[in-house]
Amino acid sequence: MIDKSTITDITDADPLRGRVESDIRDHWEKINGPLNKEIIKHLVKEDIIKSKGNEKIRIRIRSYPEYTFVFGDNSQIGEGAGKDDGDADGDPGKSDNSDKKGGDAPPLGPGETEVEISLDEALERALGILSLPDLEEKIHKEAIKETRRVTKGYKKHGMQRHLSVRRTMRNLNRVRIAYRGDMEIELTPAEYEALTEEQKRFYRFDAASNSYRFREIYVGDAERYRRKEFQTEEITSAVLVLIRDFSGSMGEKERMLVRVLFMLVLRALRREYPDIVVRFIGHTVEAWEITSEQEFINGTGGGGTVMSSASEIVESWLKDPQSGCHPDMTNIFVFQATDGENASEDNGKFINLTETIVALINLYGFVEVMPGQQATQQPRSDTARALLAKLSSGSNAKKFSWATITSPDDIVGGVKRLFGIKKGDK
Amino acid sequence: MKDLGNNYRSDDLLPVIEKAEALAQKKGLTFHPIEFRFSNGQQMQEYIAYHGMPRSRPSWVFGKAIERQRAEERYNLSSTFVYELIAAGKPNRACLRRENSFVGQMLVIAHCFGHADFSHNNDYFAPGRHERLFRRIEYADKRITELRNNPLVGKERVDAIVDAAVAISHQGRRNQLLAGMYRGSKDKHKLEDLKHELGYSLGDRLSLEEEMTSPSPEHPVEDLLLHQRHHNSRLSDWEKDLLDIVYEEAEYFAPILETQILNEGWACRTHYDMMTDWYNEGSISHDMYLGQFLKQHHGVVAPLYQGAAPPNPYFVGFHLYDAIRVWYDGSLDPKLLRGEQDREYFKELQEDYRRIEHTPPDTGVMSGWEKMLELRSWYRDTSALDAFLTYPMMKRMHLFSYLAQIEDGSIITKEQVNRENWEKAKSLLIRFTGENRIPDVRVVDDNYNNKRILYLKHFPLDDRELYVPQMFGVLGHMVRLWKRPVHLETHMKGEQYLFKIRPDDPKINVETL
Repeated sequence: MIDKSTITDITDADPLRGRVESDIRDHWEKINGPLNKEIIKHLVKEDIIKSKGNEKIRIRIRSYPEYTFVFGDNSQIGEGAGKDDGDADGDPGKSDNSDKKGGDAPPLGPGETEVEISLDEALERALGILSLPDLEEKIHKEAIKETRRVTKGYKKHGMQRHLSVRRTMRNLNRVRIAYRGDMEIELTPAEYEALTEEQKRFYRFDAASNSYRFREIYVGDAERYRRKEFQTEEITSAVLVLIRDFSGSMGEKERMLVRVLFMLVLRALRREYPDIVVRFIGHTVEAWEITSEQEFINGTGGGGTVMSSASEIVESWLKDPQSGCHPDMTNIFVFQATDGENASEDNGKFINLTETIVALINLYGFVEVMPGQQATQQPRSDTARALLAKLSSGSNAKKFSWATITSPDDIVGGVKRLFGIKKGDK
Repeated sequence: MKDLGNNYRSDDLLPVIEKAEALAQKKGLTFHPIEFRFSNGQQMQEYIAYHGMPRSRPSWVFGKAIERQRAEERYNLSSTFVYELIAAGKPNRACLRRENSFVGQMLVIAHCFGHADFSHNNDYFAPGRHERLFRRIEYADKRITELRNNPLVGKERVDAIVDAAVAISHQGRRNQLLAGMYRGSKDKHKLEDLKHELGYSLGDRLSLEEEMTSPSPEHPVEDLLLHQRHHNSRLSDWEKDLLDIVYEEAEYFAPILETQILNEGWACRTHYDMMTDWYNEGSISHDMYLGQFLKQHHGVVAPLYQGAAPPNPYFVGFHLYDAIRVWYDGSLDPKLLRGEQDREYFKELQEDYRRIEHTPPDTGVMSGWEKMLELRSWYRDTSALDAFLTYPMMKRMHLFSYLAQIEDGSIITKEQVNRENWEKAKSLLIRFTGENRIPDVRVVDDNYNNKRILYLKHFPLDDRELYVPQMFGVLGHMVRLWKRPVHLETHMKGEQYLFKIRPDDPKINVETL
């Protein structure tokens, strides 16, 4: 007990110091769920390809609430509020100020927290939900292998064409260093005796001339040949072909869902194939290749839907070695998103073409985007159902996947489904 | 004392502390010594989140507070600049911000001695409670960590109980001095007084509390947490332990809330008087006093302090003590007043008291300083404002527009305080002061309809309503604790409503009564 006031500096031994980090961590655990939801919402705004990972994004979420009895103005809540949102479970996810997010930040509202993380970190969190290790395994199995001869070490004998000039010259240099210019090639025994023990090592007695000659080094010792071995390597180049329906029915909601989904697909693949190339195809009754990402996401077209038109383009690429999209040279992933039915007369052609494509590529994903509808165990459209019936059995069944996206909440599950990750997988 | 500007170390402050302590003792202040901590901005931030406590139980709530502080700092939105923090105890613990200027530190150190004196002498800070608290927090830290690591209990269940307890911990006794006002006969009072005097044992205390917290419609129980502790048969021992921990914590913070104006006012008076004394005796220079101290002081006691809900409690408290000094000194002997301004003020007060035919007790008997000491010892915010606030004081505090409305971004004064309506304004101020800021929710019955339903009732102070989203959250916590249905009766838009919640269903049903 002190009887006089004192002053000390705060040190790390202070009992509070150890408490801070763990309490912050506890808070993070509480808001993890809503944060991940917000991240997915936020990723909608980012560009698929252009974005660099080190950009910082700020995400504002409602923190985990603390409740007490307080006085307040209930007039904002409206009549019968108690009946409508009478949910006593503190679910911070359903934030009532979701419209406030983004834009230039107003002051933090009561109970709000802001989180600053890099885009990479955000994606890491979003992809973390996808349990990516499984994903890697699946893709590895399908990855293309290539055999090459590679240099592994050197040997003294070998074929002339495997002679390593660099190594040989290096050894010859060593001989030259050993023979210094001031040394005589031939010495009489008297001269030899005058040398130091160190120098004597370089001379050898020649009985024919009764003299000591400079020790000749067999030049053949200097030659080095490359040792060649066969090695199998995985090709890490990959092409992601994204196909989107441009028909008039693809509204803004649908486009947003497609964008986020494709973005997550790309990010998932990019972890395995860092140099993955993305190619876009849009189609209505006809199909065309699109170079700009903005156009691919925001563009709209009109008229009906003939999916086989896009499949034809993909097929032509697969056949053409010059297209950069040949199955012998690279891994190919094709994802196709549409909001509904194909023209019924086109279904047969589309399914046949798709079957051909699936046989050649690594993974084919068919995505139905149907906002506001109920997701079911089966695909909703006839086209997808027919496709599933045809491709769900046989040798290529593993390469085909489908998903129905009805709301942003489905996207993560959809990506999981597309990569064939089941719920129980760990 | 020489002004060291911003180039000083913690050792340089020791002479200031010694000098301030000596002066405070000379003035007749009594307090436990203070352990000052010299901390940088980040450490300060953390201490703010932990309410200045030197240690703490583990909880995500503090992590949240720190995160929020950091987010605010990122945008430069931080609404208040905290110069110091003090936790009452034996010894008191105070944090000083490294960024303060030397004169700022002198002010803050004197301010801390004011707080130390207040918490030592004010009746609402129950004796012994603070000394016990630091030991209890140490225990709480150990106990909660142990329970969290216990595989049979686990972190989630511990946090759920602690959160629920914290949610209702503010619903304590509305007057710490009148414990048992709503329950218990006169004998109980005597018994409690006796036990307080003799120092009761823990067992006695528990049985007493248990009896006092059994509710009936005539004697509703204010203390929701204590009621849960003693009358919830479905709580296991470790859960009761957690409730105890939270209860003791709330007990510590309750008087701080109740006496905010008086406490801050007293501390401001202390630092003002001490700095003025030092200036008069010549130990601080003209520049230090006028140039730096007064600037900072008037920033603190400005009517609108950054962030604080108007009127600024520092401001109201400072002027309340000042008015009491003028009135009592003047009524004892007008010669004691300093300057012409004081005399005019005294005349105004005198006129006012004559008009309302009421003079405060002890007028003409006690000196200003004696009455100020009494105010800091016996009163809390609501009682002090009720007893001493008069029209001239309100005029001097410029509480001129008590009913204002914001329309299209500009403030429109609806009504000005004048000789006719100032009492209305005063009662409005009191309603937003101290414990009146907390809704009065009590347990009316814990066996409603013989179905073990917990029946709560909101006893309105005025027409203010319970904020519904928060109320739902608390009801959710209560039903998790009580583990049986909970009902809450409250008023909204002039009608009585009954909110019902069941443990198996998160939906809340509403009925009109």
